[in-house]
Amino acid sequence: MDLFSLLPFIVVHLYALGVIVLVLGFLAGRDRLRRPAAGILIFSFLAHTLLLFHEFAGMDADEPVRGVFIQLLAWCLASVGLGVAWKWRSYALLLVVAPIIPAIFFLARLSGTAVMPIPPALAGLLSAGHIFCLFLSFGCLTAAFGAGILFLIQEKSIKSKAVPSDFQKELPALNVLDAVNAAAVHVGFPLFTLGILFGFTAGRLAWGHTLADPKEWVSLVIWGMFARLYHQRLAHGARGRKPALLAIWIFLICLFSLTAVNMFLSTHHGFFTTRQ
Amino acid sequence: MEERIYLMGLNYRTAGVEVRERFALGAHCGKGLWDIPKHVEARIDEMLILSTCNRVEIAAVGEGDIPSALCGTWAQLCGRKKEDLAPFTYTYKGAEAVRHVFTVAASLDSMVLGEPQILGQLKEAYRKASDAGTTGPILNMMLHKAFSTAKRVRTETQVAASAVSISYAAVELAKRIFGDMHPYQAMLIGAGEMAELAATHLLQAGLSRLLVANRTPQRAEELATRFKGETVRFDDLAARLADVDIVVSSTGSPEPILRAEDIRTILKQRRNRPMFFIDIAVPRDIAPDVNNLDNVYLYDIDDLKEVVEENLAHRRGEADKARAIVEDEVLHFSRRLHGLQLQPAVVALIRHFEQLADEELNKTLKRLAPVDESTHQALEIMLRSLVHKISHDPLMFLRNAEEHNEIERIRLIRRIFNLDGDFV
Repeated sequence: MDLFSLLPFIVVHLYALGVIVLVLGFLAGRDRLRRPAAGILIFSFLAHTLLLFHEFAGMDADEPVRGVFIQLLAWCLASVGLGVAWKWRSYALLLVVAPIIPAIFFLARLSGTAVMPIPPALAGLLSAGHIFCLFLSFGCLTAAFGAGILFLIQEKSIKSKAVPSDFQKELPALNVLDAVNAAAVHVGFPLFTLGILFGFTAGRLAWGHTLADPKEWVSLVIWGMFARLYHQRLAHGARGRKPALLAIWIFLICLFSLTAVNMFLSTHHGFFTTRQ
Repeated sequence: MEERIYLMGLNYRTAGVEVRERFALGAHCGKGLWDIPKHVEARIDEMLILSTCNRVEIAAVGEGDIPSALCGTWAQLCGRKKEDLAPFTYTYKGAEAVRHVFTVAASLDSMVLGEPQILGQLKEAYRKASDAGTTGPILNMMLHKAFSTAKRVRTETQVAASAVSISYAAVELAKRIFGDMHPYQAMLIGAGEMAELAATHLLQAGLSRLLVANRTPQRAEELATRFKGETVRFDDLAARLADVDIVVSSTGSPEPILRAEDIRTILKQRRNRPMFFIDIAVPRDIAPDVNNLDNVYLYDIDDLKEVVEENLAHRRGEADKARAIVEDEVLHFSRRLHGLQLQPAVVALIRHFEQLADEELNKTLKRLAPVDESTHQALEIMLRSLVHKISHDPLMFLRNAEEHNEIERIRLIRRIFNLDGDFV
């Protein structure tokens, strides 16, 4: 058994360890634990990057995929989540985003066990662009979700005029959380649009039709909601609670599309979540 | 040694402001302040004076009737009689005095629990005493320990966390809404002490600009000059509100001057950028339903008072934890002080035995025919070993001393072995 066969196991457990230390850091109210937690998460991300390089380097289009797409999705999420937490210097944002990374690995285990190769017709740059844009967009949505949740907690505490708990005192300011949400939407929506355009084009080239897959319909619903959020922010200057709530809903529907649609409906996107 | 530490003082609990003013030991007392040890009828080796608006305290290390001597000289320095001062003072001795100094440094004895100024004032008092040459090993050790105790209390408890004044509470809230305050502007509507205080704290927090609107243009000018701000005509208020993020209002208007529908229009002009209203006026200037609007946050005077009250209650809860830390540090300090007391006796005892051994070795060597190097070394090793064994029991006797019998044991050992050379 070589290092690379153990690496997926190590990566997911390192992420989980980072999350546990981070949660303990917040429960104990100690920076001493949060800094090591961020360190563990960064180290997990580096190991994760190494793993992805190895997986993609050794990947053969004719071979089964073995869950590499889930690893890519988790990597996109980790890169956006860690980037956002670093830019806005917030452990609280990390606290909301980081647990989703090991959870994605866990959901992948639940979602199926059959081996499913990438349909040969879908191999190529269009599909790669489709996957990468959508995964990065999902990363942005996760950041918007995290910022949205924290915004709602912070806003409720201020509006209700209650004395903030220790956790609430450590949350970023409302303006910061709104800025995270806005940045995530401004970057995430164009990526999402590009992603589904690449997907529809690749599907049409491969099968000669589009919108034959339930996942494509769900994606259109998500795109519509995302477009509304993007438009409201840009055109009407929407801020605060409403955009935060909408971002949370879009993220949850995306999560539903990634898990429930793949698990319970017939879709040719099954190769995303299946593993050997 | 701890028993030589005294603390005498008065504070806001024992004396009213007139008394505290009368007996303040500040610069007005001149050089005489630091000559206290020379004039008192007791031996004072070390001294420190802390004189703030809420307390005047003298910490001293020495022997004799220090409290009485200090009280007399203190009253004299202030041009009063000892009897005028004595009823307002308190005196602590030994561990009690140390505990009091640590409690004061940790701001557990302050009028506003956890306020940060007292630590700075104590450091300044220590610096002045050092400059005047009235500190020594015991006060140095005690003050350094007091500073580290205060730091520990601040790090390990929340006794200094959260605002306990209305203006600070408003600034803390503004920070929870806006974060870094530098890009934001505020408007002061009307004037009043509390509103001005809030504006001062907001500007200190980094606010970029302050606009002032007042029904009396002269008063607005005055405030704008003081805060380096800009005046706004009261009639232009609504038009200029779209530019500001924080509004501090304290007019004497009997009716609200801003209602939800006004703010809704302003929000549209601002593209929903958040606004924070601090309404200090009674009756209120801003209609309460403004708080129901998205991206608008309204706190009136009662809300802010409630925040302050709850923060104070929280601080009081944390004070118990802080007192436990102080107790712990007082114990550590006592142990270190006992070590300081024990050390000279231990060193003197070992030196005494070594000196005796050296004398006997020289006598023996003179009596013997010339001895070779290895015999000399063997004799020396034998004597050192003997010194070690003989001193072991008296040293254990000293080191195992309890706090209450330590001084007695040190005296006994010094006497038995004539360490002070009192008798030949």
